[in-house]
Amino acid sequence: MSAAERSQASVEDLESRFESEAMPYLNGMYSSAYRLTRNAADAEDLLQETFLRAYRGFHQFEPGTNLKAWLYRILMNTFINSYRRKQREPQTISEDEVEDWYLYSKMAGDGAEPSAETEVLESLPDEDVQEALMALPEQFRTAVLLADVEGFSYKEIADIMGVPIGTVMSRLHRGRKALEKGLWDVMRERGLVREM
Amino acid sequence: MSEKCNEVLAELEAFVDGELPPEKMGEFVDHLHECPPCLHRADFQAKVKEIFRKKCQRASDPPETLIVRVRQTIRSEVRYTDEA
Repeated sequence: MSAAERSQASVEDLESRFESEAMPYLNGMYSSAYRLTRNAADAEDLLQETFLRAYRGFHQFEPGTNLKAWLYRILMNTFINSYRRKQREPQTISEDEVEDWYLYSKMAGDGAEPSAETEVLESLPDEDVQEALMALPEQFRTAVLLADVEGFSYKEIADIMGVPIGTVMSRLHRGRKALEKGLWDVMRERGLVREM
Repeated sequence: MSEKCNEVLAELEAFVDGELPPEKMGEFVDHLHECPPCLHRADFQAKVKEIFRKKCQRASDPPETLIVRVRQTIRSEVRYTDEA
């Protein structure tokens, strides 16, 4: 086998491994991309670029390590470099506005079963809940998305976002408080709950 | 609420996330068993997290054209690599 043939074979091997191992993540990552960019056209462009970069770097991916986390790291880097600059949105949550245990203090009555208390939340349309997530400032939205929707560990999120674990925990804490307030507000707007 | 409750509540989020260090787990769970208010909060937060996850995971699939587009992009990259 000549050197050219060998390199041809390894390119084909890489391509077929990418197709069978990485491509299956495309569908799931579309939702995440949409929640990051907040519109379908940008989400598609973001994913196209992410997968191109992933393909280019795929020979460096260590088999046996976490491919999903690796792809999400590329997604986040691509998003930060290409899209975040375009989006002018506030990057902070005003800290004092939402107290800890926000939903719990509003929804959890004495002695009631948690399942009964959360029934109202359960009755919200999916879109309302997804919009409440998308309304969070980007850093908080990302942390909550990676932890609660994608199920990554603190350590994995720290790697994906390129920040220390303590920062992940603080963004999660603040992001979830703001999310709880957003969910409460939409339940109130829909007349599902009364302000106490 | 006791001091122990405050300690436990400060780490409830990590507990619900399954991120509590193993060496703290025993004491934490012991407290939940003997303290209904703390257990109630833990159940509530776990339930909220679960509902949130379910509602956000039912998401729309990307259009078929995106998958085609991504494959084409990679194909042309492969060709480019071949020629180089």
